[in-house]
Amino acid sequence: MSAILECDTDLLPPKRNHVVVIVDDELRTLSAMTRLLRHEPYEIRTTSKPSEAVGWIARGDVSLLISDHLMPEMTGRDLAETVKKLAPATSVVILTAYAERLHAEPRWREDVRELLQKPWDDRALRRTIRHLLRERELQEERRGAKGSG
Amino acid sequence: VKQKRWKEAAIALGLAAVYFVAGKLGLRLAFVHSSATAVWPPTGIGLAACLVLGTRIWPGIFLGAFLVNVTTEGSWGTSAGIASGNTLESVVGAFLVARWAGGRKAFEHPTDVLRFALLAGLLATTLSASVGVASLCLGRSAPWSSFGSIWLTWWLGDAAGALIIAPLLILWSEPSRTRWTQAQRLEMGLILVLLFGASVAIFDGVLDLARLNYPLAFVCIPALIWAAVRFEPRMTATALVVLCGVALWGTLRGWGPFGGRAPNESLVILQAFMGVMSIMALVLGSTVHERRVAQEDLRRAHADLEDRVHERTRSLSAAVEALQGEMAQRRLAEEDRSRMMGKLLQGQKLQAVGQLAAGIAHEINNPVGWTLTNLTVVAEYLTEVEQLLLALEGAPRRIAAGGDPSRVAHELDVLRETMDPQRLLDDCRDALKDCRAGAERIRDIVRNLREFTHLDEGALKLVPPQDLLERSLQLCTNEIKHKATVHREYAKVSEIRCYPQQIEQVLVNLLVNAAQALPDRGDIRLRTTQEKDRVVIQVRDSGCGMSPQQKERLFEPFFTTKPVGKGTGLGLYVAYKIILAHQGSIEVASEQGKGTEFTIRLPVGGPGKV
Repeated sequence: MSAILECDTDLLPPKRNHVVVIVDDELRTLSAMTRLLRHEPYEIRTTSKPSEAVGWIARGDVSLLISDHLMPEMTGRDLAETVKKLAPATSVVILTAYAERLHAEPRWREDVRELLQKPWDDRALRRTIRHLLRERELQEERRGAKGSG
Repeated sequence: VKQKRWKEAAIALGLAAVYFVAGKLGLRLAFVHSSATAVWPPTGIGLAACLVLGTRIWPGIFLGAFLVNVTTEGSWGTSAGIASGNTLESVVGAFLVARWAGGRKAFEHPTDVLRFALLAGLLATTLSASVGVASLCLGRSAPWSSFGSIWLTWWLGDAAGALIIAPLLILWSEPSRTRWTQAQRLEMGLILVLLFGASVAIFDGVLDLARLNYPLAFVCIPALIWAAVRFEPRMTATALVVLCGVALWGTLRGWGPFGGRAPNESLVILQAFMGVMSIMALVLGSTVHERRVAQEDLRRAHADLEDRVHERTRSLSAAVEALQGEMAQRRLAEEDRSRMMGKLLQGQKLQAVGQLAAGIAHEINNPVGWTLTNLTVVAEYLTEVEQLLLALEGAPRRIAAGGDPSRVAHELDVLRETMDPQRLLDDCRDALKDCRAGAERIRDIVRNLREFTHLDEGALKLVPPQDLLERSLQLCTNEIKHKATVHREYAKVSEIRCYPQQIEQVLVNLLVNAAQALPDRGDIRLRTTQEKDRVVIQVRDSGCGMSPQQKERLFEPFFTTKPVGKGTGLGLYVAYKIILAHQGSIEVASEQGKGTEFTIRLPVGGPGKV
């Protein structure tokens, strides 16, 4: 089955198991993304509450966070800042309808790895996630190599 | 100057001549003594001359009087004495009248007439009588024993002259101010004829009536009164002269009411009659004259008043016209203003639409995002289902071609298990449901935006106030949701008749303002309550609040606290106008650092005729 979907991306799947957390105040966005990524080789966790995501990240097993920006509880950028403190290795992707607004904000790159515009491109989203997970693996490998060497 | 002197001298000489002739005529009327006459016209002439021409004319009087006497008695000394008395009488009389009785205008007021009679008629004439009679006695022309009787006759004669002749001359010396119509002239003629006829009948011997000496003198009074009432004093004086002339003429011959007795008696009674008639007629004439003048004045005052009223009316109507012009201009200005206001409203609306449209475009991106992804997924599901179907379809063929049936069945089982078609179809349905929800969300947003942009096309509708609040919230949700937690406290309230789009514009304005007032995050409380026939809508934020000064100017046009380019300063002004047009009220309560609360009260029955 996965063969069908693997041909969707020219990127290799990540080598180990990852947890990807998705935060959005729109439940339909969450379920749509869960469906989209259902065959991807990583675990998807979704929540509409940024605080819940913070709890998961604090436990340290989250590789990637994909978050909306404008949410009732806190903004995606605030969340990213928190993540940076709690788990610096966890990359944050902001997926928002207001990408250009955030883009205009100063120093957004300090906390945010990637800025994606809603509505998103399904293929591009899958590619980005895989790419960032691979990137993380490579960093870990380099660190591991350094540590062993 | 020389010429003037010559002229005066000529006038004095003329006066002397007139005086002389009158004196000669007067002497023919003498009763008791040749120098003491019943009526002494020269007294009237002298008095009138002094009043009309001035007392400087006295030499003429003296000369005339001297000549009359010197040609009558012959004695120069006596004549000079008498002439002195006559002159003194005229000059003093004229002085007294000028001083206290109105001078030449003495016959225009009853009081002046009485004073004239007293001062010139009775007082000044004593001088002439005293000096004259004394001169006669001194010159032995008369015995001292008859001094009293001669003095009385003299005095009364002079008095009659002053009372009858002087008024006539003085009154006729001035040009008449009134113009008489033909009918009035005829009337005057008729009066004179009647008076003449009556007095002739009574005093003269034409009829036997006068010979019988009936006391009918009063018969002449009505004609005299008639003249006094209907005409000017000069006509009265004229009638008086006619009456006195006829009475004198008859009485001298022993006829009429006063005749038939001792000459002295007749004379005194006649003189008394003439004096009383004269005073009565002149007083009446002056009274009538005064009244006529007063009437004329009144009429003129009335006309003047009318003129002034006309003038005032004219200026007033001019003012009214000016005012109307001004009002028309104001109306034009007002129309201009309301046209401008319409443009401003439109502009404000467009601006609001622009602001919201930017937000709304983004807001659409959310449902678009999940809808597109769900469509992608559904397409993938279809591909998976297709695979299963192909596998199922191909199974019999594979078995027929010699495939191992149990192996084929196993493969199908594995496929079915991995795929879980039931779960797949269920999720497919869910995904499509989400797609529908996304499309509906987009439809609603677009519909709201369209309604918002067509404010003018709105119609009065009955709407629940909470619906208005909810729709407004939806419109500006993207300005609010990331900044504020919205708390709703909706009481059960009546539906209100209103222009929903307009009220929504107001609410959107308040909501956006509330969100902008929040420094970071905060609360927005929406509340609806009922107040009798009004619905109260409150929008409260926990934001920065505002100063009393800001609060005061809040609803002014172009007042804004936002940075340049961020707000037109028209939003709340327009809101105010809209609420006003709905016959509602909008109030604000604010405390710096604690927040702001807007309270809108709207009548349930709507704005009535707008």
